[in-house]
Amino acid sequence: MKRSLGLLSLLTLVAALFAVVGTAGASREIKSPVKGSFKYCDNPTFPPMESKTTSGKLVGFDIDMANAIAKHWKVKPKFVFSSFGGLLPALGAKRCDVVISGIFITPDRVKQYPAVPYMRTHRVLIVKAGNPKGIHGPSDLSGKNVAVQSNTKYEEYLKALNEQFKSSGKDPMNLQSYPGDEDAVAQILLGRSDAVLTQDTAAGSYKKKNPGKLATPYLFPETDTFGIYYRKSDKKLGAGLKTAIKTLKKNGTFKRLAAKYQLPPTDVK
Amino acid sequence: MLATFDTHIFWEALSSNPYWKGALLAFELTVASLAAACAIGFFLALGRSSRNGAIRGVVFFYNWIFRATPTLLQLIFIWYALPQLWPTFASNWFTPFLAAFIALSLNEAAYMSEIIRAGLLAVDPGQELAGRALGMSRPRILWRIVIPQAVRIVIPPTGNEFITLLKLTSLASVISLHELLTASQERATASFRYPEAYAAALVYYLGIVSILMVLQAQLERRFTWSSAGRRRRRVAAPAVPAISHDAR
Amino acid sequence: MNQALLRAEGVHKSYDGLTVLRDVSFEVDRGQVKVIIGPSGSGKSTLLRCLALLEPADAGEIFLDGERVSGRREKELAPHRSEIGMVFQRFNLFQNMTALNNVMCGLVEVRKLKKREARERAFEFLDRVGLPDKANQYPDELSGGQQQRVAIARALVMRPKAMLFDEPTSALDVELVREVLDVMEGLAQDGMTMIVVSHELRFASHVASSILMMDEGRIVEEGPPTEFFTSPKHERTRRFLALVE
Repeated sequence: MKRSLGLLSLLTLVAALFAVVGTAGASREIKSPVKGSFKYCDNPTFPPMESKTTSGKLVGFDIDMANAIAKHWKVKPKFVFSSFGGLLPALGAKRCDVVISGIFITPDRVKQYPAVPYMRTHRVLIVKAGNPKGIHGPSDLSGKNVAVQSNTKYEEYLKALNEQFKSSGKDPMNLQSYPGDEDAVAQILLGRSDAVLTQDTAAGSYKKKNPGKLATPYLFPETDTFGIYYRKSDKKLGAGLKTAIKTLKKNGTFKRLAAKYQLPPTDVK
Repeated sequence: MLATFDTHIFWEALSSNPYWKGALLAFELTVASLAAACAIGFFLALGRSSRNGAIRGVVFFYNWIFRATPTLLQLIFIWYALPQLWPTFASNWFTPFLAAFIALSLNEAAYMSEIIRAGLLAVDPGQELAGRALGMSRPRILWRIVIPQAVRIVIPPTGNEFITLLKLTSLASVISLHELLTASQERATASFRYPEAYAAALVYYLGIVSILMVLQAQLERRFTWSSAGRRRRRVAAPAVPAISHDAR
Repeated sequence: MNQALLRAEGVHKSYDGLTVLRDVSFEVDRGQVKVIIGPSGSGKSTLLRCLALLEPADAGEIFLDGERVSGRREKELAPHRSEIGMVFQRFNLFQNMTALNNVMCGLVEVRKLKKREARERAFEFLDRVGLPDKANQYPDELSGGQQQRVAIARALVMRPKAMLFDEPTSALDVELVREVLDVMEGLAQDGMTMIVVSHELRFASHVASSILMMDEGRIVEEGPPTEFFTSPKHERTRRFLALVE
């Protein structure tokens, strides 16, 4: 009797030990909210968040972040190309699980698709080095040639600004819109446009690529937030993203990426 | 399925100013480019059968370059490459409409030259012979006898080219021309209602093509030579090989 | 001092290495009607086209009313062409014009007449060939014989010095040949200088001043119809006539 009691207690101990180990492992084992691969829609025309090198390779903060999230969930990251205006439609058409593409969280977008914030940023005006047209703020854009990426909030803002100019009797801007953010900046380098409205993240990278040719005379005080968009029906995915972001911020991944792309560390806190 | 199509939003888009303006712009660009292309293409067609080898060479080279390269590439080249070669192309006078007009005209001229050449070839050589026998000069023979007959032959393929050009105008959205496609994309992104926004654009394109078809039929009737009072429809004109290039 | 109306001297012509006319000399006087016969490929049509100044000869000269018209530049040739009327086997009426406009065309475009005057004159000539009621018809609404008569009117209205006919009835159905030959006989009787390439030997024997036989780019024989048909001088002529009769 005593021996069988001893054997039983040993078995119970082993079982309990497994249980503890098992649950401990379970709490460390993150269940991936996506099966097999983590598909993200992206428009790689917005360095340093996402762009292509001359050899066609994808680089950027968002690319690295998507890879980090996939690694965290132990699945493969899969990049899905889209035009900027086609990002959310692609999400709706289930061509991808999320949209990660330096895209702002705005009330009208969130009505259709919820989003998880991950980074703060400012808008900025880019002009030719030396600021020959003397642009020091949005009101100076009156009567100037301005380029912008199509179907963005930047374009919306500039269009509204133009309406303001018209109704207050000031000269409107000559506003041109292009498929890529880089196409818009190209117009300054070509001498066609006087200013481009875009994000401070992008401005830094453009200045690096074209040393001495560009300047950023004005930083908008208001901050925008970049977010990862997902479908309303994917509640588990949303929760998973929130925790993943939190984890990556806590373990210093975000800080490392920010440093890699020369972004202010306060933006990714 | 169709229950989710919001007809109210559809009508709003259809009657909105950007759509109307965009459609008008697409139509104007098409008409202007086709007219210029016909003019340039006519001289290219004549040059193809010139006795001067240098002229023939130039025409061959022109057709080769403009037909072998994608139209989009030509558009982008004109918009991005020219200013780097000659800074004047960055000034305001060189508008997206002008750039698109030049690119599409030059491009389409290469295709029109082949159509016009086929049309001229299809006119019975006896017509020119009879004109010369009367003592008419070559330009006069062309103008009074050969071209009217060639026009009749090239009307159907030219109608095709109009339709192709109309669709090509949507490419100009990448050089910031605010035409019909741009308008529909903007409305779609702003409203998140994609079927309605794009269906409205489709309706405009359909409308323009329908107008073309009516005009083409009228033009074909005008070039049907039968005496007044008896509108007898002629048998189809001699077959001109359709130059298919939808792949571009 | 011989003032032949239309004269070819030593004309030589080849296409792509094939010699079509060999040293051909030929002339027609005012008021004469000459008919040229011969097998196909003998150069008859080419000779006619050279005489009409529609084709440049490789060698040799063409004289119109004593004036040398061969070897001239295109611009100088055009007015002379309008003085030589040409009627083609396939009519070659302008498809995009009515019969009346066809006949008017030369007057307006070449003689630079005002439209009203041209129309009157054209109508007069359409009447002469018996087609006043077809003035507003288009060529494809006319029979072959009617089309050819309009073509004759179109050439005639220019008041040419000579009329050249290249197998004018060869493309016509048999029953339509008569109406065209009647018009041509009428012209000959009115004293028009004519050169006709044709197979219509009965017409030739009625109307021609002389008949020529061509073969392999050369004029083999020439003679008045009475002699030509009854006692041809050359073997080739005899053989050809035997084939055709």
